[in-house]
Amino acid sequence: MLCDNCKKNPSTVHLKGITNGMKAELHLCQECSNGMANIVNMEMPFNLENILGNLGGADSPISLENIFKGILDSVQSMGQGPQLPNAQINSQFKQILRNIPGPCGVCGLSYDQFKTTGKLGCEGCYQSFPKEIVALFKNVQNSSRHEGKYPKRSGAQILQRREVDKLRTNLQQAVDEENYEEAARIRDQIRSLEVSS
Amino acid sequence: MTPWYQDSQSDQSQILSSRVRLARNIKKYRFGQKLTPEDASLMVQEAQDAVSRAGARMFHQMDITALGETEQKVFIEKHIVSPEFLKGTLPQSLLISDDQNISVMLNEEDHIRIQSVQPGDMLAQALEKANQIDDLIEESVEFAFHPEFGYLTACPTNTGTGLRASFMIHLPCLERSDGLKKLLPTINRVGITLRGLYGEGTAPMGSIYQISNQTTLGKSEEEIIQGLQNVTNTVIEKEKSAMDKLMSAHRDDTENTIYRAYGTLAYSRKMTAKEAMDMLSLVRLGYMADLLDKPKPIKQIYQIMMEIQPGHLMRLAGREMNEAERDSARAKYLREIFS
Ligand SMILES: [Zn+2]
Ligand SMILES: [Zn+2]
Repeated sequence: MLCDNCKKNPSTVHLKGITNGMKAELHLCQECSNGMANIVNMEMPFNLENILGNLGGADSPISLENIFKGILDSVQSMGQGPQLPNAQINSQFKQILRNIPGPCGVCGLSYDQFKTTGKLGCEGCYQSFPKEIVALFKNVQNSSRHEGKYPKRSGAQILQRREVDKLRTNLQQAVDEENYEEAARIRDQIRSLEVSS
Repeated sequence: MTPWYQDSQSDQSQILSSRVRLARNIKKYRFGQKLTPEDASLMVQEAQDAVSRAGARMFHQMDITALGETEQKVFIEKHIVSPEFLKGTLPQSLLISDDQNISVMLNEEDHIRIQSVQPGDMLAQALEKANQIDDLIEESVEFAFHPEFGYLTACPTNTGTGLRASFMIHLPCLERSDGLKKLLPTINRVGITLRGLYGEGTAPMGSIYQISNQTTLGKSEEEIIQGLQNVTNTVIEKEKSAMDKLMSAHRDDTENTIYRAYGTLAYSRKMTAKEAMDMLSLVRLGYMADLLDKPKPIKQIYQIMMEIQPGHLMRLAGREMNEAERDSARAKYLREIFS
């Protein structure tokens, strides 16, 4: 695949992210990504460590090493004149980089540290990196939903969630069967359960 | 009860043991890497109190870090503690039942790791015992738990049930027949892993493997162990048919190999751990295939495999030994059992 920026060299650095709510992908050659990383370094208000840790979020199956290497190389080549990036591509690049979760508000663990060690710092980390963790669950575990045992003290909450899940399945079934009366009844049931929680 | 490896049920089929581990964290403390020494100490104390309230008569507490290096090795060789646990620098604690079949590591990767082992094919019983301890601890401690994600653990690969269930299995024939390599992709696809217990690779020492679940979300504990049980049964069936094939096609050669292994165990003067493990594996196969007409040793084969590991040998000798000394001590220990 050719580089999105210069359209000349084959792309070796692949970035994935969300910009303006849309999935975005950028495929860059080494040179262009170096150039952009240099500019980002100078312009952007966050530190390089953050960028390194957060490029290519958990849902990116694309080689992270490549990205890291691209950015690291760019640090070493700072001072050489950066290749002027296409303005639109450059803004997309920055958008992707902006879409990274900040450190955990409870324990201070950065997403970078989590990516390096694979270990979270506290219960709050699950709330701090929600998208990334759910994506990871789906990748590694094929599911993000606990179906097992639960502590008795959280019992009521869990039972209600499972009840709502079951009703949702029934609702879908009723809709599929065009049984709209039944569907409406189930919808009310779900609403009343959700209100009471 | 006796430790699982002394139970004759560990030596009656390809399944040596059934093991269950539950990972739990206490809500009010951060996970290991962000735990301060003060909080670690409080957390360990709180968990310890909860466990002893739960099963005061059942467990005794051990300060494993205060033990000598040899004694620590013994605990690793018995799979009661992990090497990572011993590397920990923060306060930690080990609670262990008299028969050593149930243990609780406090402040390993997670605050609480309950482990329960049973001899032979008894995964449901192992889970039941671990669940009992879990329920009892929960009476006085609030766990980190999320209504959608389940039990929250330091590593997202354990989130959900926090359950790692495993069988220790002996696969000498499947390993030789190449059938194992063919099975692996299928096993992995259903979220189960199979790995050598002693050394990685396709031919671990003694042909002893551990088969375990990889996923902890999307399934209940019972579904997880049932899935593991089904896959394991298939693997064991394949091992048995590989054994039958070996017996019908190469009976004489197999018999020769097995008796030679027995002779090596009975008469050697020096033996490496690898050689001893492989000879013991052959002898175990000899008994399993009804090929070895020798009285069974008083100890179970896996117990012998464990006791020829460095830590056990040095504890028996009561002193530190280098590798050459251990090779001699190992051969002597085996002669006493087999000759
Ligand atoms: Zn380019
Ligand atoms: Zn955190």
